[in-house]
Amino acid sequence: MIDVPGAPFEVLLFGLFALLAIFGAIRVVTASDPFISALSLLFNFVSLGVLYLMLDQPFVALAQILVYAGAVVVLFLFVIAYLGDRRELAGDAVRARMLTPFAIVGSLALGAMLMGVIIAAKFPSTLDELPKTKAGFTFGSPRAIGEIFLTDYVLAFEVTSLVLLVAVIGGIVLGLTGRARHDRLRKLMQTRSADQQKKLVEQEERELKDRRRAQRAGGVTGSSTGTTKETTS
Amino acid sequence: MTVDPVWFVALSAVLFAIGAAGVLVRRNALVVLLSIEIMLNAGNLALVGFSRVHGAHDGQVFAITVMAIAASEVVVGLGIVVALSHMRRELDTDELAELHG
Repeated sequence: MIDVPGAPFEVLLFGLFALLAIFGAIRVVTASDPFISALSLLFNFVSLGVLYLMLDQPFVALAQILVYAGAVVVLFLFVIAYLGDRRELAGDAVRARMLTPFAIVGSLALGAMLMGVIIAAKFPSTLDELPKTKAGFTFGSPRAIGEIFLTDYVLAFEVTSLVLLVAVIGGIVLGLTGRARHDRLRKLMQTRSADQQKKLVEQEERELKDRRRAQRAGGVTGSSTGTTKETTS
Repeated sequence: MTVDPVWFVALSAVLFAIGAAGVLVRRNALVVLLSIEIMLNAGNLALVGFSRVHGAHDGQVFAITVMAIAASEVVVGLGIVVALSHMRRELDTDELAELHG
């Protein structure tokens, strides 16, 4: 059951960073500009890092800041900057469809359900004295984590490294696939006169348009062309 | 520990619900990926909180593994987004329905 906590400083710290984390998360979901979303996510990650420190787990807190705030958010910002000023990136923040209210009610229900379970559950009392590992390292320290990873969880450790390798290969393959068309177009451009270049670009655009039109006509429901949106919203 | 761990778990539930709302409501593929990150972090917070309650390292090991998986997921997800943008497709989850049955 939830007890009203006593000592003020830690409680204040928790309240502050919990509110910051929730604020950041809400901004991620509501901001219409993905750039603002990514920066709000940074807010959320750093707040969670502080909360991990409060839970006596400095290594996880450090990994949180390095991996999430340092790598993941920066990667997101790079991609957003790379994609540049695309109209469909901004605006259109929320799905203008009949399903939106259901989605919001559904996620609220999910939150209420989780909270209900948490309030009803009986939590074990927290240990005041933290145990040391077999080798005598303190709880949550990098040494303790290293010891556990290389003894009890060595299989998980190895599998994780394999997953990372696969992700690296996947990232490269996806990048090359996306570039193929881009490169073909550029090579064509280099070998033709200005007049022919224009013709080639026009042809390419027309092909793309035709393909899209065919896709839409082929029964893709819920497309967001101007007319269909007006009728569904 | 003066703050009851139940508050950490409650915060993780709130963050998870917000992330789920983002995945369901937003149509920009990038923001959907960001919302998934919120949900993963909410799960991590619960793992780390329970790890502190029991004084066991298993939760932390799990949380760090989740971080590695999340990083891989971001690489592949953003790779797909960039590939789509090269093909001059819109990053709209309603438009990207080729695999729709």
